Amino acid sequence: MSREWTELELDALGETFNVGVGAAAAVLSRMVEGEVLLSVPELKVVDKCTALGSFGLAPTDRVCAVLQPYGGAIESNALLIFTESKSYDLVRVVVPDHLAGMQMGDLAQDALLEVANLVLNACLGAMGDLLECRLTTQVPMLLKGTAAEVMEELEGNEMMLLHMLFSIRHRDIDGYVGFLLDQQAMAVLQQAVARFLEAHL
Amino acid sequence: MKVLVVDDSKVARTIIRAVILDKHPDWSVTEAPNAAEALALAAQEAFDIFSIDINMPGVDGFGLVEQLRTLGAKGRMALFSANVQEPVRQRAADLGVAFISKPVTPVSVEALLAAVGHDAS
Repeated sequence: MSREWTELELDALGETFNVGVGAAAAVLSRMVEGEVLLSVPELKVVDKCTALGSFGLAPTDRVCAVLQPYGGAIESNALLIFTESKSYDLVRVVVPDHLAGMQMGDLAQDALLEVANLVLNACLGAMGDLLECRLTTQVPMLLKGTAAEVMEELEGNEMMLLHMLFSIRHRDIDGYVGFLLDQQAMAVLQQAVARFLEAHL
Repeated sequence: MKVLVVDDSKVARTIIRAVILDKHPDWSVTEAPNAAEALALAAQEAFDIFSIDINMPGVDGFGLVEQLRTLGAKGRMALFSANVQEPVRQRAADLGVAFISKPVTPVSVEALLAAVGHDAS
């Protein structure tokens, strides 16, 4: 079990997440050839139902999510989640023009997985570097269905949700990047954050 | 030299302050957690250097640079951000302020001081 997070630990975690998502946004920005707008990160312990609300989703909304399991020092999942229509729009922006008319077939799913893989790897890489813990990514999975169905695929009920809204300037595309941490992952992360603070403050 | 560090992260502010004071023990470093407090402080005293985060609740770093200029602030400004996208760097360049990438480390703080015309040595 993890102990209560101190204000400074939460602050350091938020700042670490900022650096991670900032690196991820730079990757996405190059792919969409535009600026990616980022919200201030939020961090809270929630159950699955509340997590959906935090992502601005109703349980019946159709969504596309890419779940990126990662291991190494911390084992958990990173998640990139969009409404289904916005995931099509994102794919259309990042793939060549002659593929732009495609529906969410295999090729589009592949493109979305590739985008998410690059974005989430950039994010995890930056966070791992900063906290000096090695994080290894595994094969990402595409989850499609209603928001409630997608959340059911995730293990555990209560989780720490570290998330940030991103949107693409001048385009109606937005989504969330988030980390879902169970108790064990939270405890390991907390130790890494405490070591970071000890080394830097 | 008077420095104002504006960042919503206390950890970031604390590290920036510690690195600056380590290099320049005779400088003064003031902290503000958001743009509103930064503007109130800048209205009261003149700062020589501003280190400004971009993604903050309320007015962001770009907005703060513009408002500080409207206020007549003369100090050198640098945006110090994790938002390392090229369009963001370009907006900083368009505003005529330096851009330094986070994370906040002794190396990046020294880069910030160099960017506003002060050697870390």
